Amino acid sequence: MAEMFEIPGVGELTVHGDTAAVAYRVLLLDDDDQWAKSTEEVLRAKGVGKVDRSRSVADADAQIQRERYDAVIADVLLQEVGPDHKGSDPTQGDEWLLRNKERLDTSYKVALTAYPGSIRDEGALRQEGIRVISKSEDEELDFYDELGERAQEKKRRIIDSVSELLKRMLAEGQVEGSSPSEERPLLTKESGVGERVAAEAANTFLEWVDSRGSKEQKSIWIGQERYSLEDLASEVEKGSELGERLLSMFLRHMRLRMGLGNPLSMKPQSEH
Amino acid sequence: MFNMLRGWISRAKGDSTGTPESRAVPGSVFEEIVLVAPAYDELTTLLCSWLEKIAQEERVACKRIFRETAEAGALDETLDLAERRRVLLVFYGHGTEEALLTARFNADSSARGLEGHFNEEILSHVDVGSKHSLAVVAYCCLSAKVLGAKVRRVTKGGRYLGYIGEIPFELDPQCRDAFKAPMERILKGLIGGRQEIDDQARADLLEAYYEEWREWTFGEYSEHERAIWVAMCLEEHMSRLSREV
Repeated sequence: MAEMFEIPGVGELTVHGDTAAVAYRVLLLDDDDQWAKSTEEVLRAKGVGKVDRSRSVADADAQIQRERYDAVIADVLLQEVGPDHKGSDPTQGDEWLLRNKERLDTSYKVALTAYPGSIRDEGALRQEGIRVISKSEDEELDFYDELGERAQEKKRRIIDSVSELLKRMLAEGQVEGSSPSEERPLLTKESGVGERVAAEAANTFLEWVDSRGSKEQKSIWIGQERYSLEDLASEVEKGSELGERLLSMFLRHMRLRMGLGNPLSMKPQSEH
Repeated sequence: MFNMLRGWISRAKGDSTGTPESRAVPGSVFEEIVLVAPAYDELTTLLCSWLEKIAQEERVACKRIFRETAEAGALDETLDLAERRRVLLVFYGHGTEEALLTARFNADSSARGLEGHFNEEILSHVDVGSKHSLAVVAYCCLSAKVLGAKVRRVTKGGRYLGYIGEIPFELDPQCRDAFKAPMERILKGLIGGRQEIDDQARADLLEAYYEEWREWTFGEYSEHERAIWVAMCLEEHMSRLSREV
């Protein structure tokens, strides 16, 4: 998906929207392979970027420790429970959602069931804003449409945020070819771009990091130091030298993906 | 006799010839190839495995100084050799502006360091001089700035393909190969004797990076959750590649 923007006095800007940066992320907790597979296909067709699957509450527990999800859909009756078990262990999907309500506080939580009578505490679910949806009815299909709309809205929000930021940079003269020498980061409070733009760039970068699921793994090496995405976000928040460098990298990348410049003609640093 | 004289004149001019049969690969501009990769942290261990694999795949006669054998002093012999023959030195690891780095190793091959830092020098700018004939590829931070400049300026026919700033790496198993492929493509040409370290090699490396960048920005890998970060890192590699070779 590519969006065109008209920048007065500059021309057209193209923004490529289909990237993992704006992917809507869903976790399915269900032991029914067939249903899960068809649900995943439907969600992807609706524009949901990432669909993960857990077959058990134990697996789902591990999954939400590692990743953050925009929506979590839990089948109420899991194989280890069965429709005959009520009011006793092991955990049903609706109970799992209630148990993890704090960890999932920013996720859209949905309990899905073909047996509405199997819900153990509908009042508690309602109180916590956990929706109950019936399987195999129009309600389920409408729900998938809704998730698709949420996925599109998330993309739009992040792209708009970055586009606004870059439009402002263009208006302030920070266009390709007029950027300062690469010896200094492009974007600092002293670079002339302005504190307001710097703050917006930081917000956009932090939002991007926050939308990543696995932010804690220390898989990033810069020089001889190891970092996680969370560490990098922290540097940006602190306004450290590394943080400013990261923001410059981020903005340069956004500029390049919007067709403003060519990575092959980036100015190298000056050499002694 | 005439061949010997021709070879001597060529070497004195810093040229890349030498008697054909002495070259690592027939027809190659390099007479000796030395591959160096210490391994003492997660990044260097991975980089070392990449260079080991290239060495296995290219099946070219070369000296391999890998893992715990890549300690300080390990290149003394190579520098002696570089007084008589044109050496291609390939290094994968950590660097500073003045030096290529390694660690000090214990008897059990583990690395000795202080608070996670292992800064022994395996090749420093003070080690290279006008008597050496060196062409270097250094896949590490910073070294092209001072060490590289000295190799180019002072050594015979000196060439140095490296970086003048810090280059980031993403070691997530699904992403890490983005940082393996571009340099590997160029090295295979160099080690295989099909290329010299020149402006074309630099341009080819940039092109390889660019193709990788496109895959992560618009192509096959653009849906990965770390795609933006990988692309940002590749841009850093490209922008910090030394302009000179």
